[in-house]
Amino acid sequence: MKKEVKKELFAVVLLIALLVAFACASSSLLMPKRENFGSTWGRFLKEEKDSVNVLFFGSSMSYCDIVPPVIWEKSGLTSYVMAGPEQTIPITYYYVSEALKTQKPKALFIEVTGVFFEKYQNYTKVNIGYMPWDENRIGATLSASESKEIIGLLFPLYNYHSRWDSLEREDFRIALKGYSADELAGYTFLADAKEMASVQPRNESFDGANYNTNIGYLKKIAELCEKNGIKPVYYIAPNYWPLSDEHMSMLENDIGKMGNVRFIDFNKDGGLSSYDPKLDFYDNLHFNWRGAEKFSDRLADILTRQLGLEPTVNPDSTIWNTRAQDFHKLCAG
Amino acid sequence: MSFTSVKYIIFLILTAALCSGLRPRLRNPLLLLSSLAFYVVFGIENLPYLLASAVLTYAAGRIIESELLGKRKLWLILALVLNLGMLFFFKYFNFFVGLASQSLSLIGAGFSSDPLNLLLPIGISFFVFQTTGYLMDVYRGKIRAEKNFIDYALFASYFPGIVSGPIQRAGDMLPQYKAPAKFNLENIKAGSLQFIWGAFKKLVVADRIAVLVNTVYANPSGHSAFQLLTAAVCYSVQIYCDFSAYSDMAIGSSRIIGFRLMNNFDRPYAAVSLQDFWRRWHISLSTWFRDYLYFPLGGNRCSKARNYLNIVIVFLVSGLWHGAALHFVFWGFIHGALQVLGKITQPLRDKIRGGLHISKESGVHGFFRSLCTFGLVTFAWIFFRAATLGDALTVVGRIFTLSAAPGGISAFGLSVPTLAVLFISVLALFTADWANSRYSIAKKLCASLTPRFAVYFVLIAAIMIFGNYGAGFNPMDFVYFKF
Repeated sequence: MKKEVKKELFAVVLLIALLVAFACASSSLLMPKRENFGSTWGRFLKEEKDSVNVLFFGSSMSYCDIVPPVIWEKSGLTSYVMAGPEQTIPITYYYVSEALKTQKPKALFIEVTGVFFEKYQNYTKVNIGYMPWDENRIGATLSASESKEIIGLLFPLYNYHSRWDSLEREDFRIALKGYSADELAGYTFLADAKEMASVQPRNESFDGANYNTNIGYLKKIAELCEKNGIKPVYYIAPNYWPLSDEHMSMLENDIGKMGNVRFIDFNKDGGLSSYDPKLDFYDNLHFNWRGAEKFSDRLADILTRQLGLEPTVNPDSTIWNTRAQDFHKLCAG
Repeated sequence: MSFTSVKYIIFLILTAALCSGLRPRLRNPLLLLSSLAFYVVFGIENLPYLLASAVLTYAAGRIIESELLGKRKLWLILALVLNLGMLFFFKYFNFFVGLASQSLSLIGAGFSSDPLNLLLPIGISFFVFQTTGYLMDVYRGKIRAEKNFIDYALFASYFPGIVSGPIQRAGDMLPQYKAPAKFNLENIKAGSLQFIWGAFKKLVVADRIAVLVNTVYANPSGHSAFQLLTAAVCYSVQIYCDFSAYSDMAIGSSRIIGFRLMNNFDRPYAAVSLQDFWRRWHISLSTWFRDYLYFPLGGNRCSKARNYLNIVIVFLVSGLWHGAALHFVFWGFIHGALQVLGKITQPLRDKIRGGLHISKESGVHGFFRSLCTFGLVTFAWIFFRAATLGDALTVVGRIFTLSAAPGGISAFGLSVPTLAVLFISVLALFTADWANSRYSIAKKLCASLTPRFAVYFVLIAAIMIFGNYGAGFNPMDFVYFKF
């Protein structure tokens, strides 16, 4: 009897292992493939180890506004945008922690409008669901997602199993061969232009407890940077829907207390004047490619002149030149 | 707490683990507590009615058996009136008041009355019938009245069957509660297999096919005869998969804990007559009606006319048991009337068969009879499934007048690949049912390790991919949950 029970227990363990393997394999096939609009971990992990000089994090205001191939052209610095849609600051912390496993950047930029986001925004499933399976993903799942999202983040088939009847060739290709490297290094190309009439105040709501939590996570990121010899820059991207002056000065003050962090508000001191309100914006929060090119040009200048960064890693010029060409081809339509 | 939820599976494993190997004196109170906790999850407001039924029938059973106060029959009737009265009041009061009002309005004496806002305690149709059956058995001397209230309360509230049956007999369950518990691996193997098979039927077949059925029945007049006929056939499959899935999961759960529940289905669509169908469908209910209603009415030991009347009465009550609505009553009436018609035409049909030299034993004849029975049962299900009697008549009318409507299979609300998977699943299900009845597949699987775990893997993997669960899905209750 005991022998039979042992056999059964062994079979149960084996069954669970096989089901976990099956769930992993079918999840990678059934999850919608993510190649732009942020959270593109599959593509980021294709970057050569320790090949990126600067990393950009944050929300869509990062992956729509920053063009790493332009920064490369202007400065010779390699960079990558590893942001996510409506990303909250706690998730950004786990993104930073995860990205530093494969890259050793000299500087790290975080778009910090997210400090004033709701505790849980709309795209938690996307932001966490594409992270690699490790302690950062688990940490983000348990500390930065709503309880109703947890089951789907730990067991992605819960969210995506019904896609079996709409699979395409691309799903099989990526599931079998994996993602390819991103030709725009995390930037999402936006072509359309929308004329910006005037700056509209955001009138954001303020949740003190959530704000303090977010500041806490920004401190943790600053500590992580200090530990790894990285220059952290927290910034607000230029936009036509700015945060209130009161909240901005509060944020500037709190970031100022972090010591090693440089804070830049690109809306300040006529920051928007460099951009054409008729041609450079996709909407009141995001640039289109024209605005993004100008903003990236400015960032390249900050990186080299103000932060004094030099390309210390030997970059693969061929890849980066191709990326720049790809970007210009898209711009040319 | 649905049987298909992760919470229930954890609850079941914990309960089974805690009860495993405990002596009845410790195990039964623990199992009673688990059962009450399970029941309370559906709302603590349900609990008093379950306890009232248990206390009432326990006390009545003791009084009837002891004959201390004499007049056994009077005590029985009093207890039945109270126990069944509770069911009548909560489930049927508004229905009958409405019916009376409508009927009287026909002769100009109608009255208006707002329906009472009554709670319908979860599982009341099941636990009231179960405890009523106990009282009748005690009265008839088939079993002794239970002295131990804990064991009796466990019988009345045992969680695997409390919500939707199977309706158990005290003579089957109480001796099991008293038997010494032993760790039994065979029970765990068989119970797990039956539970997973039930989950597959529910999540892969029943809930998926329900999308098609619900889409069509939501708007009968907007669908063609073909679409309505398909939906009617699909409902026959859905209700079988849904209810037999519940029974499988209940029986499987109980078996894992160590108690055997009554089997509730035996390949009902293989039935060769309506009488045969009711020997195979919801067996615990149909045998209950047979033992506690049909036989007391006189069964077939009376004149033919009286026998026919008894049959119709039993099926009318059965229809009413399923729901307080005219379409359920009409569904019951159809079954009763068709059985009576079958009995009346039996000599004529035998004569025709003899004239055509068709052997009663021939496979083709059996298949033809099964097909006819399935057709009749499907016809009756239309009245069961439709939201109202009017909707049911619309469905039947549009089918028989071959009404047209646009849409084809796109009107079913399911993609072509989903329909294909559904078709394969249904085919696999009926093949497995047939193979199990012919070759005892389940028993053989329990005796062998690798094939059984291969089946576990295939079923769970199919549920993971094709199951109706997760984000974007509407978790559907079991159909019999509302009865």
